[in-house]
Amino acid sequence: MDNAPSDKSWELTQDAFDGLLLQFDADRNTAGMKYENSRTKLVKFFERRALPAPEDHADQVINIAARQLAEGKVIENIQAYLLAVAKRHVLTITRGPAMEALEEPAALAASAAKAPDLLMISSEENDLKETRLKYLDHCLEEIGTQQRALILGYYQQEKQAKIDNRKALAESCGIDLNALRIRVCRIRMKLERCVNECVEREAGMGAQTRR
Amino acid sequence: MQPVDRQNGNEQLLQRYLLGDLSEEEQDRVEEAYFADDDYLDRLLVAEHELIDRYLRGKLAAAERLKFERNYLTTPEKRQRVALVKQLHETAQMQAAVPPIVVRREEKTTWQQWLLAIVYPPHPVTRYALALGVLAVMFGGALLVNQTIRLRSELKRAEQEQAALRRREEETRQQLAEQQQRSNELARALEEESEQRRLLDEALSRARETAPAIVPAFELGFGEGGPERRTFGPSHGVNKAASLVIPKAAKLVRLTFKINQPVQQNCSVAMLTPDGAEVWSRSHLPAHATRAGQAVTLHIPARLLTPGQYVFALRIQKADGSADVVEQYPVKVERPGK
Repeated sequence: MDNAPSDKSWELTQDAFDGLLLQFDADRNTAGMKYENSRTKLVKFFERRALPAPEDHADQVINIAARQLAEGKVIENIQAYLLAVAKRHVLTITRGPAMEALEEPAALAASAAKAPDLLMISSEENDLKETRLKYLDHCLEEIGTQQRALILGYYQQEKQAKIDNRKALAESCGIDLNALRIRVCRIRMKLERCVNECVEREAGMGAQTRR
Repeated sequence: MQPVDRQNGNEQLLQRYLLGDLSEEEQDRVEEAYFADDDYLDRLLVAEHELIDRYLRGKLAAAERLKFERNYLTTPEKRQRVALVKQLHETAQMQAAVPPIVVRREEKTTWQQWLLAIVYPPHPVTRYALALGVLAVMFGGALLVNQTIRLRSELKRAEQEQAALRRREEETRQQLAEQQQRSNELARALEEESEQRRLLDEALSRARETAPAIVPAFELGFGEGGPERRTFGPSHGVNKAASLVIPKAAKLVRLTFKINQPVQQNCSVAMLTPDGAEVWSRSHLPAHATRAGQAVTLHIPARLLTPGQYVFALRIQKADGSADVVEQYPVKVERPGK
């Protein structure tokens, strides 16, 4: 594998992003969906390695791939390439930037170097948890009646009643149980994204007020 | 779709992956699998979801629970995710107290279904509201139609009344014009009469100044009379002229013409020469009753009655201004001493 670019000033341009999408699929809608899935895969990959801010790491890997493509690199299998870059990225973080050519912000490296303190929730994180829960109701409204009914219905009942309830839900949606679980999982991720956006928006407004 | 056993096997493998319970080779294989296959990614997501669900329900074995807390709850993002699912559990349990949620199948709505939904809404309350709305519109429409018909009828009646008023106004205007015309005619006649009276008054005045008033009078058409009255009838085929002997001092002569037919209108009298030339005339003479019937009387200046043969023609005036000759009185004027 080629070494990734070391120029930290490089930013993702629209042309570079379009080139990356084209690598996923010629159809822009399909390419968009494949891009989202690839990003989720990268997030899961970095989550598994207990790295904080896994989405930032995922975006950095995507930027590297986009830049390589923009500079004329031929990538035959984008998914395999992303996985390889992600693995190298982890090595860069855990061993330090001097050992590898891959770019990585020093702050991320520093945060990643810390060993996770299991179940130790700081007061700041506790406040954040309260804020996030506050936005959950708002996001449940945002996703629409059907999706809201589906995800809340999915979590209702216990034991046999829960199983029967989920079967009834799947039947009413015209899908099997496994498809129902996938659909509910996607709705849960959507809610998570919505809550994250709300928290970020509030944080941004707070920063402006402080200024 | 995979058999259930294989699916469960995969899910267990994926949950072990999430709990950090796989060897490095196994972990690489799982990662290669979900990077290569989007369906496998779905399975990973579902496995993670179910793992969280089981943890929150207390369904994990003690060893699994320990691994979950040590190897999964390692970042704030994952802890927040678990907290979110926990909150969803609580919200769902609260909602479970209310009637069960029925999720409608997500189907594409055709335009026919859309149209049907408008005409026949699925919700009974909406249906009743729509029915009430339709009834209200129908009732309102009927009221409007009724009101429109009534207003049209009133408008037609008003137009008829206006036309009648215009007709009456036109008739009144015509009557006024006719009255005005008659009034003008009367004024003209009055003016002529006044003029005649003024002339006569002047003649009488002059006569009084010069001599005692001598006004010989003659009745024409009454039959034989006294010595001073030379009476003779209208011609009626009798071509005999009456003699009018005018005294020398006479300034004015009175002539009374008997009329042999009933006359309602005014008359006029013209003094003609035998060859038909008019010497003098006077109009707007009213007929009056005498002992022998109707007659017309007039005064004529004596100076006009120079000796000779004359014919007095009596005419009846019609409404259109023309006149019919009804009587002729031939006379012979004599002036003694001339």
